[in-house]
Amino acid sequence: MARREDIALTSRLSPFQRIYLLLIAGFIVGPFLPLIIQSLAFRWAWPDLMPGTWWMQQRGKSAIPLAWDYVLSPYSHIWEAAINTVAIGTTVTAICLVICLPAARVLARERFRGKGAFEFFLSLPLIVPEAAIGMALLMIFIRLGLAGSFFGIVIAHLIPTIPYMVRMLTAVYQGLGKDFEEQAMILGARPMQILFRVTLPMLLPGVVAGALFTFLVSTNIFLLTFFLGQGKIITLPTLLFAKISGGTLDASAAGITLVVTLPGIVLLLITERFIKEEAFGKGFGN
Amino acid sequence: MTQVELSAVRKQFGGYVAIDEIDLDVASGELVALLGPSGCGKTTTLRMIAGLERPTAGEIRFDGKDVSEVPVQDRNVGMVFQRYALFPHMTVERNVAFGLSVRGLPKAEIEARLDEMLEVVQLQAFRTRFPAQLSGGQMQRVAIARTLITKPSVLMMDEPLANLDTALRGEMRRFIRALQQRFGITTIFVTHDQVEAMELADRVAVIFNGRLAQYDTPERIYRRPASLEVAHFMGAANIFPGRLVARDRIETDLGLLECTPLAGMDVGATVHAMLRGEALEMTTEPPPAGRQAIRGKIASRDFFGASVTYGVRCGSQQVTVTENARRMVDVGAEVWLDIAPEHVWLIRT
Ligand SMILES: Nc1ncnc2c1ncn2[C@@H]1O[C@H](COP(=O)(O)OP(=O)(O)OP(=O)(O)O)[C@@H](O)[C@H]1O
Ligand SMILES: [Mg+2]
Repeated sequence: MARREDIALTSRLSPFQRIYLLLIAGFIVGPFLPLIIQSLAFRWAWPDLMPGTWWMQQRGKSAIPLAWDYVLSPYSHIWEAAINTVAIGTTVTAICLVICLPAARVLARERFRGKGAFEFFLSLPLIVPEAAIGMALLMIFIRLGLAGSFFGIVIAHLIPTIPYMVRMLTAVYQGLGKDFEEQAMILGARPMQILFRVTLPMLLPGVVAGALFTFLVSTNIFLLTFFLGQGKIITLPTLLFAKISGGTLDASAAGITLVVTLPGIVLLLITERFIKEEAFGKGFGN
Repeated sequence: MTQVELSAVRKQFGGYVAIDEIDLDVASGELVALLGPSGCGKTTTLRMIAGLERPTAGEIRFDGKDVSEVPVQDRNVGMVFQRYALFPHMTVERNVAFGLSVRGLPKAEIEARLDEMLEVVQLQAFRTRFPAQLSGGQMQRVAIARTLITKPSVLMMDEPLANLDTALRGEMRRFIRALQQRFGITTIFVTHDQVEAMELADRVAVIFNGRLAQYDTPERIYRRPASLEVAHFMGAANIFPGRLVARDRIETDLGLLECTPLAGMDVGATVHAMLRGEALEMTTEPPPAGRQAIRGKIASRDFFGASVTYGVRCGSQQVTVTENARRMVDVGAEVWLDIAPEHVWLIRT
C-alpha cells in the first residue's frame, strides 16, 4: 500500500515545479534557520551573517551556564515545563475525545430543535477573545479553588479545543453510515463492543487527526495557561513568554523556542506514519 | 426453527406513514419474499422484525411470543444489508467470526465454526483478505457467512442480489436457495424484482404503499392476482375491462369470454379479465369447433431469443402473446387465439 505513493513520487517534476515546491518549503522552514544559529551563538550582532562568537567558545569562561547548557539545566525549568505541557495536552485530548464523540454522533445523525443554535454556541469560544474566557474562568476558579491547579488548566484548555474536535468528529461520523453499527448490533455486539470494535476503528483516521490537533492546540495555549496557572504551573509556552517578554532574544531564548516546537513535530511524524499504515493501509479511506 | 408473525403492524416516522397496517405470517423454515416498488416499506418491515425499528402499533411475535421488549442483540436474528456493511477494517475471517467473538465463545470453538462456515461459502482462500479486496459476489458471501455463523432463528436479506451482475445473480440465487434448504432457516428477503421473488420464494408478499396487497404462492400471485395493481406489477399485459353476464361469462371488448368463476362476484358486476400472454394458444388455422377462439392479425413481433412476443390485433383491441421461439409467424398473418376458460382470470375493480 505504501509503495503506491513512492511510485507516484518518483515520476519526474519539471524544473519549475521543483523550484516552486522548494520555495514554499523554504518559506515555511526558513525562519527556523536563524533560530537554530541564534541558539548556538554567544554574540550575534546586526549586520553580521554569522555570529561573531559561538557559545562553545565561551563555555567554562562564564559563571552561569550558557545557551544549550542553560536550556538543559535545572535553572531553565524546561523539563518541568515540558512534562507539564505533555501531561496537560494528553489529559485534555483524552477528556476532549470522551466529551466530543457522543456529541459529534448526535450532531451528525440526528435532527432536533435548537441544533442550529447549539452549533452557533459551540463556535463561540473561537470568536470570543481568549482573554475574555480567561478572565471569566479565573473569577470562577478562584472561588472554586481551581486557580493554579493542573485540572483548572485542563478545564480551561477544553474550552477552545472542544469546538474543533466536535467539528472534526462530526465530519467523520457523517461519513460513517449507521449500517455498520446496526449490523454489529444484530450480530449480538453490546454497545461497548460496538464502540471499541467497530465505531472507533472505523473513525480512527478522524479521531487521530482530531486528537493530534487538540494536543497541538493545547500545547500552544499561552494566555489561558498564564491566567489560570497563576505562575504555579509552568508550561512550555508560558516559560517561553516569560523568557522573551523582556525583549532579549539570546541563545537560551532561541533554544527554548526550539524545544517548544518539538512536541508538535514529534507527534506529527508519529501520527503521519500511524495514519498511513494502520488505517489507510487496510484498504479504506483511499 | 422460528415462526414469525406480524399482526396489525404500523410504522410512522413523525407524521409520515411508512407502513399503514401489515399482517404477515411466516411459517417456520419458510422462504418468503417481500416484493414491492421502491419506497413501499419493505426495508422498514425487515428493520422492525430485526428490532432496529419499533412498530408504532401492532405486535411482532416469534413462535407466538411478543418480541417488542427484546433488544436487537437478543432476538437472534440475522440480517444481510443491501450494501453488505462488511467491516472494512477486518479481514474476511474476522468479519465472519465477529458474531461469535462478541459472544465470548472459546477460541477453539470459534476457529472450528469459522472453518466450517468458510467452507460452506467457499471462501477459504480469501480468509485473510480485506473486504476492499473482494468482488461483489465474494463480499455478499462473506456477509451471508457472517450472519449464518451465529445460527440465527430468522434470516433476513435486503435486496441480496441487487448489486450483482446478471450471471452472478443467477448463481447467488441458487446458492441462497441451497443454503436456506440446508439450514432450514426461516428466511425473509426483500426484492423489487418479480422474477427473483417467484424463483426463490415459497410465498410472496406483495406490498404497495405500506399495505399488504397479496400474500400467496408465486404461482397464484402470477396467475391469480387479487388486484389490478398486483397484476400490473407482476407484468400482466392483457387486461380487459368487462361485465359479468353470467357466473362464468364476461362481456369484454374482445367479445364474450368464458372464464373461471370467482367466488363472491355477482352477475352484472364490472370486472377485469386477465389473459396471461403465455397461456394463449395461437394457431394459424382456425381451431376445431367447440373451442373458444378469437380471430386476429399479427401487428408486431419482438424476438427475445428463447421466446417471441407478438402483438395481435383483435378488432379494436391488442392482445400480447408470448410463445416459445420454435416457430416464427410473420407480421400481418391471420391467426386465431385459443383461450382456455381456466386461463381467463377475473379481477375485481
Ligand atoms: N428513518 C426514517 N425517517 C423517515 N422516513 C423514513 C425513514 N425510513 C424510511 N422512511 C420512509 O418510509 C418509506 C418506506 O421506506 P423503506 O426503506 O422501507 O422502503 P423500501 O420499500 O425498502 O424501498 P427501496 O426498495 O427503495 O429500498 C419511504 O418513503 C421512506 O422515505
Ligand atoms: Mg429498501
